Amino acid sequence: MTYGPVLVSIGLASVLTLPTLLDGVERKLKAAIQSRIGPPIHQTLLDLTKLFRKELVLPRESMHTLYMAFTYLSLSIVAISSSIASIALGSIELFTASVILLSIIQAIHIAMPFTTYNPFSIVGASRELVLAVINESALLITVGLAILVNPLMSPPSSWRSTYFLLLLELLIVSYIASGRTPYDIAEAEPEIASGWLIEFSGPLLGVIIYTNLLRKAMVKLIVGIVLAGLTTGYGSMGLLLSLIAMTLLWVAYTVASTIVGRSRVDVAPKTMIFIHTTFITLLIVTHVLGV
Amino acid sequence: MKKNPLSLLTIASSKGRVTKRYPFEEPLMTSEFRGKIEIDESKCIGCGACVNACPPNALELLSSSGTKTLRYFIGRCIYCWRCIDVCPVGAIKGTREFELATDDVSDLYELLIHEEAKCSVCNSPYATVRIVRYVATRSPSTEGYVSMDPKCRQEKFVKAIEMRFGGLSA
Amino acid sequence: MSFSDIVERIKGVRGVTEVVTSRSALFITATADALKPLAMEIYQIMGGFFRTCIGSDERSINNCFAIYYIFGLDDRGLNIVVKVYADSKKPELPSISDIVPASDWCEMEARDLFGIEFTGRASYRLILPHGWPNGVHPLRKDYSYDSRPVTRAVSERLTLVDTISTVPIGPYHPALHEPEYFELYIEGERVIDVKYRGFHVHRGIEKLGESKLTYQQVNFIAERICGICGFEHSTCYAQVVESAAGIEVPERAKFIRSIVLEIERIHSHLLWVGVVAHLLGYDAGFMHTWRIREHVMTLAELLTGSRKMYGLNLIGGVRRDIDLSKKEKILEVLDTISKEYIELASLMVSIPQVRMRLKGSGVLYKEDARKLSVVGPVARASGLRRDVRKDLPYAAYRYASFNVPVYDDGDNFSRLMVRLDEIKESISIVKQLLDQMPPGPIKVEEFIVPEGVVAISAVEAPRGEDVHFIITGHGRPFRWRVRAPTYQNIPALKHMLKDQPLADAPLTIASIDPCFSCTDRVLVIDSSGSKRTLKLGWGLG
Repeated sequence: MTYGPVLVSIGLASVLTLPTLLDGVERKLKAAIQSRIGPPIHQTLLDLTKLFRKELVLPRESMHTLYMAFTYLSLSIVAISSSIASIALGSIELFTASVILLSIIQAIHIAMPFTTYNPFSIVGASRELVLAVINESALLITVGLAILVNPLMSPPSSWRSTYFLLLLELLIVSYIASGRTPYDIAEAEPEIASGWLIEFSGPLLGVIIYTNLLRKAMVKLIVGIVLAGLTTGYGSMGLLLSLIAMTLLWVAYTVASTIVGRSRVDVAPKTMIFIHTTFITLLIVTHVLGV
Repeated sequence: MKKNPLSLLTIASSKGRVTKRYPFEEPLMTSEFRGKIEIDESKCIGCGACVNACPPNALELLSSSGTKTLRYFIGRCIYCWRCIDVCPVGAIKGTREFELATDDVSDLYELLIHEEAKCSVCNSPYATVRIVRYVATRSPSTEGYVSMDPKCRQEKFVKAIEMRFGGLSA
Repeated sequence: MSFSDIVERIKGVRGVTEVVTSRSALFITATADALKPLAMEIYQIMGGFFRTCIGSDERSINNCFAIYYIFGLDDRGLNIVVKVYADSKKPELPSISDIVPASDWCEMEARDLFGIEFTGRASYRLILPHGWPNGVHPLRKDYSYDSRPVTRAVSERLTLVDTISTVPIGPYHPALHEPEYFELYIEGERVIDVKYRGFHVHRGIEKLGESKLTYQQVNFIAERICGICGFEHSTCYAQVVESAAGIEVPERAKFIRSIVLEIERIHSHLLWVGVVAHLLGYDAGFMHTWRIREHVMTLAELLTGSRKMYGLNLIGGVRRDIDLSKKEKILEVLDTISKEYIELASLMVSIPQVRMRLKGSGVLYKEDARKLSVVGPVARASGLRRDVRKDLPYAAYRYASFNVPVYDDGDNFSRLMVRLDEIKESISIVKQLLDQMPPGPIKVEEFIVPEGVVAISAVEAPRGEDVHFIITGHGRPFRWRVRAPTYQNIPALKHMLKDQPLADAPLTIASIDPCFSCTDRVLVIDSSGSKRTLKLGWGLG
């Protein structure tokens, strides 16, 4: 297939650029729900441009942060390319690889604040760690099941309840992984934790913010890819559908996160474990029963 | 009493957007707003009543050779308009101006320079020319005294008493 | 216990040398030995609350330092002031903090600012910075307002314990609204102890007061003690001077004061609800409560001329009247907000995360609340029915009928509910007062403030009672002491934070609606200490 590389490039280009605008849409939409005018849609782009124009400031006593930030960025781009390629070309191996890469990216995301020696960002990161350990396990199990039920990334002949459950659980996992309320614990308790980003500034902060947006896009893209695999199958239609799904999910997640509050670090893991185990058990049962 | 979290969307859509594109739109302000004050140069007599009433010391009366300067420093003003309450000649007017930020601190000073009257006897300055005129027109009977500084006035008064009654102790 | 019983019992304490009664207060002079038995009698047996204590340098008048302890028998609307003299050379008094734990801070304040030592307790520096030289007591009359002692910078860190982790909050941080410094000692995610160091906000108002201010000017500076509930301070100050000078304020002015006080309470509570929503990650609730609050702010500007810092009060009355068109506007705004805020409040408490995090967190038990004499919504959420508007009615509150909402759980949720209910009550108070507002003048222009009169005034601010104490002087106060509500409530945080998850700490700290600048005020204005015919008699408080 000669159009494959073209398709992948177009897909990759859109996933690398769309998130900055989608973040602008998120801010605008949030503002609308809060009865505000809000910033313009391209505000995130303006923010990033400004950050990249500033002088480079590194956190105290650490060059590691810089290396990590760039590994974070490049791995994210690799992960996105491989997931785009997987749905465009129908390669389940690439899909598996991209999900594993996503887990590694999550790990770097959590590890970065530990290089700063700032107690507040470490508190934030440790909290993120608790949530990520649970959520990432659920993500890997769910994606494993997705691969098991639809290994060829092509629409099945008949729909089973397993597929619905699968998409639902993926939605939950990706929502939590996108770091929104009630699970935005790392950025919680503004007066104590001040978020794990507190030590970063200038271009370094720009890189991290941009990569975070890529990561947020990636967790939604995975849902889109599984959905496309089950409905249109791989190919250009599949890619288009996953991108549309990613955009729509971004909007839906925005609304959902605006109308709820934040959970607490000791409660959130309990609710997450409960939700995930229920869904995964149901998934396995329906799959084994073949209903 | 219990409500669905989604009902926030109904509230939001019924209220619309309430923020303004200030400074591109009119600021939210009522007719009663107290802003910066304006001192009418033609009316002020430099009596210092406003200076005595001003809680944050934003109004000061500074003396230098031959002049008395009423200085209004906006940076200290708390916009209470007490000066307006106490001004005996109604020279101070309140405005609704509040956009006063500047990158040049001298923009925040307003000066009103009064000429000082000199005592007709000892030639030392004692009050603004305008106060002297104000007092003279308000109570013409002070005519013989108003042009002197307090010390000379006192001496003249004592002399007058002496002339009439042969001394204070009498 | 009848009033005469109270007087008899107090007279029966050995060492009480003088008891003067007035309309709303009982002034007692006693020897140092009588202090503890008196505290026991009033605080433990009669069940009074402790308002504050006030140091005073009266060496220019009677060659002594003095301390005034103010107790309040809230249920019978009576203030009891106990005055005790301390030697001018070696001022020393027995501490009553073992009997009245709430007196801890004000004793240390008197120690810092006047050099009065308290025996029988551990002493520490509360107000002055750590680097301030020893033996320099800035509120003594012989300390000139413009002297600047040589200070050295010393770390504000309170303790260095290696075995437990310490999470410092403050003193300066972009996320903090005001300078405050808490040290939370944590094990895992649980707070095991907490220490507070405050008083970072010295605003130099003292200097202004000593060099310039007159009775009327202080009013505007008093309003600036607090950025949210300044009008309460200015009313309280105006009332304390009016009471010392025996000024009869026109009824209409009293109504206007009450109406504006309630409007300020509505906006302050809405502000707080918004902040709590924000701390709970429910930013939409934050934005919408502040949207509703904006109506109140605009209304305040219409009535007073300014959104905040109303500049409405003068000693003797108010500066702006409420005419018919303004009255209609008030009613219109109240109708809008009462509908909108009830809708939003019921939505907010239905949000599962909001409910879950408020319920059962930051509990202050009734006995601790009583021990520390906490005030305002914090007291009322812990089952104490305390409200100065009811207990010691001032302004026009006796003309309005209203409930004092009391909840018994003492948790953050109760504190939210108290405030939500109070907004409802405030709306109803304003409506009632508007209906009954009598015609007439709004201020007294001519009055004389006699020297050497002692008076107290209390005003229920949104955060609790403000207490202003004054000894009048020549042209300006001889001694003016302000006790903001947060001053009384911060010590309770220790009990509220203990054994709670760290994640709830910011929420619990916010739940007392702290105003650190109020607490730190350092707004004690003294005259230059000139020896005129200042005889400190008791005023008719």
